[in-house]
Amino acid sequence: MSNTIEAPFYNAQRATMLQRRPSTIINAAKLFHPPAPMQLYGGDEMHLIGSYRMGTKPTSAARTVQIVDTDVLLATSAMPTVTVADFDAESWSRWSKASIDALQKVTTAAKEAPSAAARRRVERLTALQAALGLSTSDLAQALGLSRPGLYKWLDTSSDVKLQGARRERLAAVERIAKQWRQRSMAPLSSVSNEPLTDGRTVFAMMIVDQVDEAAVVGAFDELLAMLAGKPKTRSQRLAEAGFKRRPSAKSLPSDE
Amino acid sequence: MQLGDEVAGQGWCTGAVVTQGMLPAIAQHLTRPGAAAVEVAADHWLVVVSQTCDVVSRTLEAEPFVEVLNCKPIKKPRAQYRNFRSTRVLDFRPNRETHEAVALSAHAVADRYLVPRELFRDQPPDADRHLSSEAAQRIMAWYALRAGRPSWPDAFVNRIDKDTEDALEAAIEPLKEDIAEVRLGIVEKDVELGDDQAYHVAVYFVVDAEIWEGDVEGRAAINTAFATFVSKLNGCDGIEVDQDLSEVVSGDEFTWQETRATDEWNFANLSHRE
Repeated sequence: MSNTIEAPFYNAQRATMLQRRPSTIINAAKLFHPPAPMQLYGGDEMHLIGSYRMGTKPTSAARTVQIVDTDVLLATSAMPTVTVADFDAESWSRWSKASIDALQKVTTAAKEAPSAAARRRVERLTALQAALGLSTSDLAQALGLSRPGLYKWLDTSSDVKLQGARRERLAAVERIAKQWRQRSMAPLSSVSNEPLTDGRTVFAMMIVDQVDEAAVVGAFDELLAMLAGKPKTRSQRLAEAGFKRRPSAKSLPSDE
Repeated sequence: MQLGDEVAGQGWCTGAVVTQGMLPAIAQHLTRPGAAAVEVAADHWLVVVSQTCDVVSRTLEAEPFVEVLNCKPIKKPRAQYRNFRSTRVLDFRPNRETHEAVALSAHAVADRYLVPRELFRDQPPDADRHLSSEAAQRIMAWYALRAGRPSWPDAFVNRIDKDTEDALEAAIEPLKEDIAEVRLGIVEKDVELGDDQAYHVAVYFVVDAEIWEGDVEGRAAINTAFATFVSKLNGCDGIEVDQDLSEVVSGDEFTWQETRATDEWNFANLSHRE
């Protein structure tokens, strides 16, 4: 369903009617003599609205017309040809409500539609999560955020601006993630809590106030050696022994 | 020769289709108590939906009946009934290779009949029409889902409006490649709460271990899906997502205990509204 309201014949006057509340359009339509049909999409059907004097016959694009007020016409492509006797205030009321609902929905959707900045923010964070594989709590710590704070950052409907120290922190963690990603497809979390030769862990190094990026990246070779030496998981051993999982039903091709 | 061998020899299996010529012999079984026999038009597909191992079971006593589903042609699979969206009605394409333009629809119970198995001994299935392997899998998975899906409280389901449902479906579209499973825990899973009370849920995206270990792009897509899913679900009035517990987790780490404490997310779980 399209939730837009638009006029098929644009001029300055009609253009100003776009996106207005139906009542505004209705009032405006009443002023139009001769008829000036407008298309409104407020439901599953196309509506044509215009101003006609009672008893006149429409000659415009309104193929089928229902008179719903003394001088306002509502037509839908589904309606048979009608006459003045088919006056139906109820259908007008229904249509009007549908149109208002549709407009409100559009307005709400517009408010909820994520901004480009919000989408970019979430993309950066999810790319970070993918490279690091840290839990939400751990990633929040690395970014100097609370867990709810990170969820807010991850919500495209949240109006969060990345500024100052937090922005710099995010950039620093991104640089670390990029370096790791260049070295391994496995998530850093696989080894980030393993103690290094100096006793520290990379995760501990990443959650301090001032992250020493060079030190973190410098530890990656040691982590990669650990990763290579890690015992295989049970699922890896199963797979290597030929035990494959069954594909689930949701992997069946869509029956569009 | 045993009955099962004879039935197997005719070629009966899951997804086989009963011929028009066989209909008179089984018509009396295609009925409900007190009702006239159902009409199976030439363009209907009367499909065997018993498991093949049951269809060819050796003795009649072991499996007295074969289940058949009367599938009727439709223009195209409807959004609300295709891809397991409903556990009551399934719209599907029976065989894209042999009948590319055909779409069918059936009700899980109202269109299902039991036919004595001995009636399949002497006649073969339709040589031209049979379900593809995928369509047969789909029907069996549909029946399994109907029996196995969790029953979520109506009051919970009602808080996920159609727009949100669509947004959730769009969010997890990338997971259809079978790279992760969405699981949902509901604290009040057996309780119909009043409007002034919130359902508390935990969301897990359990990631295939191979993806988790070796596919950064796949993990990024899953994390994005998770962020959107949680945001949309948390935006529903009366549903609170526990953000301490909710997580994207490797399949190697998500335990059997956690599986038992959660349900697989499935849009069919919302189907009580139909």
